[in-house]
Amino acid sequence: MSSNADIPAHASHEKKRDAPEQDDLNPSKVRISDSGDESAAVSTQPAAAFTPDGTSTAEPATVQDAPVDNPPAPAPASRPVLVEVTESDNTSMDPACAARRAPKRAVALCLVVLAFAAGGWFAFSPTDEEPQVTQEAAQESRRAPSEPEAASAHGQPAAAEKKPDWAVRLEAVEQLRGALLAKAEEVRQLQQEYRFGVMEVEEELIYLIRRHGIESFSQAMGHRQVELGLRSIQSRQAYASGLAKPLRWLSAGSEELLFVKRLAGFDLQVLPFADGVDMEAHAIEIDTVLHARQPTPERLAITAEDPAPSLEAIWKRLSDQARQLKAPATEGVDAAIAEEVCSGDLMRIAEVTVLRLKTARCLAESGAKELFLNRVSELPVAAAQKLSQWPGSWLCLNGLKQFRPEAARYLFAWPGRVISMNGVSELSADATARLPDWGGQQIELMGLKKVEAIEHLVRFEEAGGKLFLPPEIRRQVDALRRSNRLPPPAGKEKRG
Amino acid sequence: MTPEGDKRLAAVAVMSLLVWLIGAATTEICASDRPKVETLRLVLSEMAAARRALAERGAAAGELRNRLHGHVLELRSEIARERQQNAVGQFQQSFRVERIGYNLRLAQRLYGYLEGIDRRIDYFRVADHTLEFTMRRAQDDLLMVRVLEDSEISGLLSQVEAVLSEVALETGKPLFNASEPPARSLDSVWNDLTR
Repeated sequence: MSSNADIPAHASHEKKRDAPEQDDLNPSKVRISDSGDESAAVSTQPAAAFTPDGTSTAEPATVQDAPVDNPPAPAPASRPVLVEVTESDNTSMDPACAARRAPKRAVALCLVVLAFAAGGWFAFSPTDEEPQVTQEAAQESRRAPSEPEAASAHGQPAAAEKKPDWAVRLEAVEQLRGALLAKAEEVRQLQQEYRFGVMEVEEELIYLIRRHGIESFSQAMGHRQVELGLRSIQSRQAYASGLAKPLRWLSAGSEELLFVKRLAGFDLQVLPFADGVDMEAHAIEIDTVLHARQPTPERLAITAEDPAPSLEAIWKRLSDQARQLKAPATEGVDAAIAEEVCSGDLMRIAEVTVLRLKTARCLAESGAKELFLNRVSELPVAAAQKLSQWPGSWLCLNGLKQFRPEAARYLFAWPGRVISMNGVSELSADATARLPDWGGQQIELMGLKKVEAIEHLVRFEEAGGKLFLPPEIRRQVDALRRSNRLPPPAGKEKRG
Repeated sequence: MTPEGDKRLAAVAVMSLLVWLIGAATTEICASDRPKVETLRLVLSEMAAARRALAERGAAAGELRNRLHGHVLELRSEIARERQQNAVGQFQQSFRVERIGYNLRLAQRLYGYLEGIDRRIDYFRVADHTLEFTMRRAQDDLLMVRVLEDSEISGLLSQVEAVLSEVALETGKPLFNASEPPARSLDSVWNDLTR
């Protein structure tokens, strides 16, 4: 690369010394003569003006007396060193002179060529070929697969392509599962309605049997109201029992859908990293389950698994309960108020002493915002369950002396704000177990004397609830909170 | 040109040749060990890259492992809840509750995956230690080559080649084979999850 530049530069100096008279040239038509001495002198352009590819970058000198297309002049006796040449022109030397100088020039030329060859060999010959090959081979062979390549080897692109399909498929699974769960909840509520209806009719019949002194099955069947009541119980029990089958089917379907979804989901997660993941099998399984778990009327059909209880069996059970019933003196008033409440008249609701299921149902269906049931001394579990569906805000049960855990389970699921139970003196741990999770704002327990699980009260307050407690219980609650170094209540804004 | 000129030209040519030869030889002598140095530097850099690849692969495996382990914990807490709600005490009773049965099967599969991932993570750790050791040796040899200018490195290069090839191969492999049958039985999974 540098040889083109070096030689003209060197020769140029020689030329300037030996042939200063040469000024008549056309750079565009000048070439380096290979004849050696003065004829070897070349262009007056500096060496640096040559680019590596041998082209000149300098501005060409202006030449006036050398027409570009002039034919070469006939060679005179003393031939000029620099001559105008055409591309096809070959400059010849004086034969005698050339013959005399040829051996020396040949030797010098050979030495130069030899020098370049030797230098080039040293400079460019690889001294240790093996490592170089090893390096290149290593670069190729050791190159760890990049992430996309590795992913490709493991099927990630395939997974990426399939992802939209999978998203749709898994969404379909989730939708069907949601539909099954919703349907199951509907069926469960219906089942509860039937069961509550059975209890409500049973309660009515017990009072009826006692009031009318009915003592035998035949007498009961002879009493139209009792007979129809028994038949209602039988039919509702059959319905409630029959709903178990679709409920199980719905539950099994939702569980199976959850299983196949999770199974496929796990394998989708490991797909980029694992071998042997059979997503096609998952797809087939999911599609099969999706098809098999569609809630058609046939699949949800009610079939009585157990034979319905006989009317006589129902009668026997009710007559036993009627004999054990201690009817309060206010039985008549309660019955009358129940009728009033169910007809929409809540004027005498505060006079109720025993909360009948019928009354509880009609109260739950009423639009009242506050219920003051301060004469009610006992809250049956079924009544508490029904009251928990009442969409009001303040429930006063200050006449209640005992608060049973079964009733508490439903009452602390009530969506209202305030419960007053200032007549309750004792609270078991089971009764307060669900209190911390109750979403209400306030509970009044000013008659409380003993609490088994103070921590439940503390946790209710920690969750933002407000407790109205007698001083002694308040002291215990505060002491426990301080000893636990618990943070202060988060505030009411968390509730309601 | 005069004869003196010819002599001068020849002398210049000879001198140029000598200078060129001396220069080229000196350059060659100085650079005689450079390929080894460069080779060692290259393999060091390749080993560092391989360790990074191992670390990335190991981190991805660890992340996947944590994710799957999280799923196992979720399944476990669901099983505990269902056991309490449905009074399931023994393994034989567990299939009465669909959620428990399904969760056991899911956990069984996840345990299989986790064992496969753990094996790979162990391999990555061992391979990283091997690479670390080999890098240390390469660094030692590099120092030797710089000082003695004529140290034998072909043995080390072969070892590096073998290690890097294996690491490249292994890091490209899947972490585990999902189609392998689960190694643990359902009652073993039950015992583990209900412990």
